[in-house]
Amino acid sequence: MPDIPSPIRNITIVGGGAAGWMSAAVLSKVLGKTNHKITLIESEEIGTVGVGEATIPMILMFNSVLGLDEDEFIRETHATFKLGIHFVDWKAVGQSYFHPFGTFGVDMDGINFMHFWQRMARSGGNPDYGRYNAETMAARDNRFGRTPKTDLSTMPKINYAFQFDANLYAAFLRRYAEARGVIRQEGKIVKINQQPETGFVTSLELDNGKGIDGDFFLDCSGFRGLLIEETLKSGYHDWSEWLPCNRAAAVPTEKPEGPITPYTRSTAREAGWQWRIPLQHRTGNGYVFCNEFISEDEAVSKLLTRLDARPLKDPKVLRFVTGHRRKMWNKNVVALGLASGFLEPLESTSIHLVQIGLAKLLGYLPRFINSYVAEQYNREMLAEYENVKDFLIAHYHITQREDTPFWRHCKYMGIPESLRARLNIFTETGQAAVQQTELFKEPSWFAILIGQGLLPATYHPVADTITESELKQRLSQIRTGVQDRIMTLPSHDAFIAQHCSAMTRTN
Amino acid sequence: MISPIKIVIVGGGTSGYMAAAALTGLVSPSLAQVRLIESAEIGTVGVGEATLPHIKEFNDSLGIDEADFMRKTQASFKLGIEFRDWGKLGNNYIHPFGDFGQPIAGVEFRHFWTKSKRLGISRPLEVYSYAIAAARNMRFDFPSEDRDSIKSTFSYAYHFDASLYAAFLREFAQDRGLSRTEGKVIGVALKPENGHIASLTLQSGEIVQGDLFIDCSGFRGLLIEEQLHAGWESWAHWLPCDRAYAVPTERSDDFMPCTRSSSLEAGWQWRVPLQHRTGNGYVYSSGFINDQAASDRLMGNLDATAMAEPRQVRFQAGRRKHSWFKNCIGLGLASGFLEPLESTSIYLVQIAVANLIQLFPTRSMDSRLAKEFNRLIDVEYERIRDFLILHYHANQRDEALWEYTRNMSVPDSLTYKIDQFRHRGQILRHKDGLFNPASWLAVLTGQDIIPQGYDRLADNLDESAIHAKMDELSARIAANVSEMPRHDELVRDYCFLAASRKAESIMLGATQ
Amino acid sequence: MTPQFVNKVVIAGRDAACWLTANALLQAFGPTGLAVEVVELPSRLSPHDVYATLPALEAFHSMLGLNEYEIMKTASGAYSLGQSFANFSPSGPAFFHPYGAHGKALDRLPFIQLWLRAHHSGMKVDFEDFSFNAAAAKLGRFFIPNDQTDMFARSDYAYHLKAAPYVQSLKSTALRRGASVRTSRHIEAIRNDQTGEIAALNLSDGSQVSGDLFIDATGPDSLLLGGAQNVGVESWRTWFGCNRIITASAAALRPLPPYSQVRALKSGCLHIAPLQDMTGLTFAFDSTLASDDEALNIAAMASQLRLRADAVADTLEPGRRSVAWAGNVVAIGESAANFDPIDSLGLHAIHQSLVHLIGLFPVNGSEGTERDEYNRIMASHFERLRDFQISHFKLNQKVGDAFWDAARTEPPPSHLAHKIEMFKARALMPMYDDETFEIDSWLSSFLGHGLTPEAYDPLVEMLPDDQLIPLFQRMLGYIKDQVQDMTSHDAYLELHASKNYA
Repeated sequence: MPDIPSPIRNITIVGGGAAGWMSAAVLSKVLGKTNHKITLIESEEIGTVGVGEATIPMILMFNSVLGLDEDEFIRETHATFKLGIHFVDWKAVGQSYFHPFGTFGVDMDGINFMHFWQRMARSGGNPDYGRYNAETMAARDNRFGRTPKTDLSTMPKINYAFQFDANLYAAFLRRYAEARGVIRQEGKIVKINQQPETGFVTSLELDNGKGIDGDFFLDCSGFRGLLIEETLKSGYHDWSEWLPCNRAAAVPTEKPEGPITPYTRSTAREAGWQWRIPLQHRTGNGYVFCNEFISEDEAVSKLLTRLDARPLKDPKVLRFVTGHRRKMWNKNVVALGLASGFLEPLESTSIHLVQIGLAKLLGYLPRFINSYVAEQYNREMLAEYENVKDFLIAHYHITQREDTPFWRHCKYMGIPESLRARLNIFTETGQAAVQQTELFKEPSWFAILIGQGLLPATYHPVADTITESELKQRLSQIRTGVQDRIMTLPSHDAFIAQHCSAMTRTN
Repeated sequence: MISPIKIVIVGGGTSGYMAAAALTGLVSPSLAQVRLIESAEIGTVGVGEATLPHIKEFNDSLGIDEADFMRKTQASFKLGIEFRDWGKLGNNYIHPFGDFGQPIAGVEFRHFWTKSKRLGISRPLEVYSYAIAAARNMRFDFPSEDRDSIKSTFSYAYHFDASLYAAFLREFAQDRGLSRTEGKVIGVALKPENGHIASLTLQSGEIVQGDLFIDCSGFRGLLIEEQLHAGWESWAHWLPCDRAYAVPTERSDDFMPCTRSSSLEAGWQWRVPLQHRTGNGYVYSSGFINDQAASDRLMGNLDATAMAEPRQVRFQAGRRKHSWFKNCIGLGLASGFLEPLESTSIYLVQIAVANLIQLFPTRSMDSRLAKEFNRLIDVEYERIRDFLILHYHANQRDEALWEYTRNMSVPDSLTYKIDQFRHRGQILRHKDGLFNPASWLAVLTGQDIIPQGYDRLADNLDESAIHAKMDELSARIAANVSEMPRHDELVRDYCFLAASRKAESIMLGATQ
Repeated sequence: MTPQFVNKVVIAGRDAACWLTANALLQAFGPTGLAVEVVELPSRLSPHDVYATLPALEAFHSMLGLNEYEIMKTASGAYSLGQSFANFSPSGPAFFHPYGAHGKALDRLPFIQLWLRAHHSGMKVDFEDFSFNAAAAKLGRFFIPNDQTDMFARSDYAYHLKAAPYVQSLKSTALRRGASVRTSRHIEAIRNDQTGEIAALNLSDGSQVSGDLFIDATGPDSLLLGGAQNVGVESWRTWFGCNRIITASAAALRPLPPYSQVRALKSGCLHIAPLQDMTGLTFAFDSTLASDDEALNIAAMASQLRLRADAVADTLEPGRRSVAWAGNVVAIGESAANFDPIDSLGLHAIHQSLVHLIGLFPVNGSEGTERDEYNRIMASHFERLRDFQISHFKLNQKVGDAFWDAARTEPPPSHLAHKIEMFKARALMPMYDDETFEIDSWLSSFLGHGLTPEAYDPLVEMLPDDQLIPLFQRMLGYIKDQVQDMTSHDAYLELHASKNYA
């Protein structure tokens, strides 16, 4: 493959929506407009998949690159704070657990806290490890607060992310990007021109007759992959043997009575799971399912009976296949968002995978772009997808549920070798064997694996090197720190009202 | 707790905003409330500004991101100053921000060079300077941190647009609590008991009280001179240039990482390359050329299309007798003026601001702080003064200005330095103040003052060993320079490359 | 080889000044063909004389290629981490001037400012308690500074050396390096009246030694510079009350303190320098207040040591020659500047002179360019050293003692006056060119003598209160831990530098 012209000066983004406008925002901020021209093409007609979107704490890093005022961002996107995910009925019907952002306890003597917890639990102590995590305890109480940068206390900090309206998010980033020189072109792409010898995309033609050329293209056109797939035929790797869900029915509801929960809820259902994402003005709901186990109609009607407030619209069904584009970067096109692959939103990773893609892309821009770089990018992005994929499969596979064909399928299906190896290590040693580069760290694996009911056979011997009374002493110190932190936090509702309510008009 | 001192900065040019940025960036609002008053009417002397490497320390101390700063001020890199026709017509030397050679067996390199010159093997001194080799080849890269590497033997400064730099610092300071008022000062009230400034009256009628006033009002010294009469010491008899015409031109292909100073019949012409344009100017002595001729000379000497009419500024070399007087500090042109021949203007502001932070006053205004401040500033001015006079004095040109400066009596401290160097390459080292020995070496030899003798320790080494080492050094410099990026490309990419890399690592969670 | 202007140097004199010069010049210029001839005059050293040094001597020794442990063995040497100053105020305790820095700066704030703020708000820990050297010295420990200690704060050490064997060892090294030596009871200079330079020296055996450059290492007599070249003395007597000096010795102290002591007495200052096998005492005093016999008694009483019957008395005339180099004569040592014994500057002054003489060794002609620069630099060095000495006398608080009242009321030289003024304001410490003592030494002296800054840097207020005390606690804890791990001075010497160690 010949090299892409270097340096790149003319970048064209195909598709608005969260992925497109995230790209436009960060590129315009980082590259500036002096030396780069950034164009985004979107069509009002096509519209975007706008559902309640949940995120993970890494989004704060994205926001910091943009230099956003967090309160303003929250007001504009009607966002709420998110401390983690509440998993209901996943391990067994009637049981639930919480996957918090942040860590359990504090690591001691070089090993993870959860080993000390195991020692304590095995010797008859209170097994509720949520008491050692500030986000869990705050979520139980519907509290929230930010930890001031100046806070030097030993109390645990509060880690958080956001739940927002994806359409409002795209609109917010659009204003941001346009203010920084991004040119938005309204129109539907009707023709894509390629250089005959190399196949590089050279220009796009719109239904309004305009021609748009570029050195480099970002395909944010969604599932279809207008450039990456329809034009460049990059291929798709299907992962549905492990993650069989292929439909989602989504419906917004009115803001329910009672406090806005500072967390997302995921409830396991007969043929998949249901999300609940509270925003300031309404709630996003959806049923992710596999059509081999339940029909679309049945799924929709089940969803409508399982809402805690009145629906605002008719449910909409989306179709997808879990997997990834074989080449996310092909020639002079990089696919981001759904165009690059699909992983169900069980752990709120969609926005994050766009962020990672953009970060890696920025690492190569605006020079040094050639086929080796593209291959390296593809290897690194695939590794990101693989890690998330294994983590998602663990949710389905480790379960005590056998009450429906779907769950029996999940429980007894084969799993990837990488996940198998990890589960073996965990069962035998109590360690999740997480690599530095993985997104989900030891505490997340602990939360899911133990939450789903997989208890290791043993724990790290170092946890036995302190005396019983010292162990109790340390654990009670940690619980005290968590308690103290919780006491400093206002309720989630009060915090929003005070700092960032979308209902408040600001001038 | 001490109650916060109220600091009022009058004037919003580079010096005003450097002071504002440092005071808000390094001093917490609980200790100092900083207010800046500038009048849009008065305007600032915003020309392409050349700096010294110290500016990087200033920016770093404030946590300013270099690439961001360069992008927003249209900056380029600077490895030194190219002097053309100084000393005599046809001369061309560079005063680099870097060493000539490296010591051999503990003996300064210049002594080996003098020795080789006496032995009749004369290679120009500049082939032993990495910074000069890079500059001549229009290349730039960042210095290595490996102290043993030849690539660590230089530092660098910037050329930037002074008005954009002021704007950049204004944003920085306002983010950190600077309160800024647009308005003209029309009255000043002094305290009867001690003559300190009590308050300023603005055109709007507002009365602005303060504990400390920083006068950044330019040459006139609105507070320090017009109100407090701190006194002026003229150095015009040594540095007779008193006017300049400045004009920006379009950017040309010549993007050497150097300021250029070309000696002309009645002064000298500067050239400061920026990303978006080039700053030019003719600094001249009105006693030796008339304004029209000077302006014509400048316009005829440009290497690209002028983007405006030439603008004149007038000045006089010298300094305020007391930079800090009562409760007022003169900063920038209000504290003194030395022509920009060695790019010292911003340095003098920076050092004054740094000294102010070191000697930060409380509301009680201990006069002993002013005494120490003035002692330190006086040293700086005098050291620079001698160095500038050297450029004028050591010449063989035949125009009237140059005959005058060649024959004028110069400060004893300069005569002494020249004698010491001429005799045996001795260069005085001082604890405080500019310039370092490499700078003196560059200008002295550049203007044909060559040492007659050298340190006897240089005789401890075998002559062939010395030559082998010197040849190896120049070869190593040439080889390394050929691998450096081009200055224009590096500037173009660095400004956003670095931002890209930083964004990448933040978004991947690698840094917080 | 290029022909050189100076082919032969004649060093006339005695003891350390003479032999350090011979070593330094031969080491530097021997390979360039410089000949060094020493005219050695009878030694003035007593068997009990001690050279107390400053830290920089270690670097000088290694430049001269001298092995530290060999010297320590030969000269029964002991290490010194600093000096204890006692009795300079009737009420204040002794303080320690460590050869090193105190505490760790935080951000841009010097440690002294942090300390002052804590001190103002009631913290009782002394400034010197934040010094490794002081902490080690008080526990009788010794250490060679390493990366760990340097990370915290700079540390350094000096020596006490028995003078006679030290000089002997320097002499044999110089002879090995090619110095030629002739001894003479006295010398007489033969001056070329036209040039004003010295052409040759007449020796007591009637022979003559000629040379291109003459070094006057004759001691306070300054036979060549002061005598033949007629260079006058700038007396420093107005600041230094002591005009007489007694040296004596006592048995070795056990355990061996790794520091020296200075004690202010009614009529002068008593200096105690421990060595491996004896203790050297030097009492500098005002002869109008005590006779030699009285002074000896005072020294014995004050030191509480049983003095050996070997005391020697001499005059003391602090001051410097108006220039250290005149014509072709360069004075090194007491012939150029004669210091009060306080702060142990003798060898250091020689060291500085030689470093600059080598750096400015004349290259050609007799235009005097090097001479001017040498004289400028050395005058500056000598005066900065002198200023540090004066600080001890100027800042004393022995009110009611005539000797000390006079010292306290005498206006100090301008540089020192400025330092004192700035320190009083808020512990500022202006530093000039050619200073030997670094900021922390000045702070140590000023604070130790009870000078209190009126304020501290207001920027220290940016540090939250609750961070300051833990910060100090961590520093003190760190020093304590490190010092506990150090070996004792005795053990260190036994291992590395003792004649008795097999």
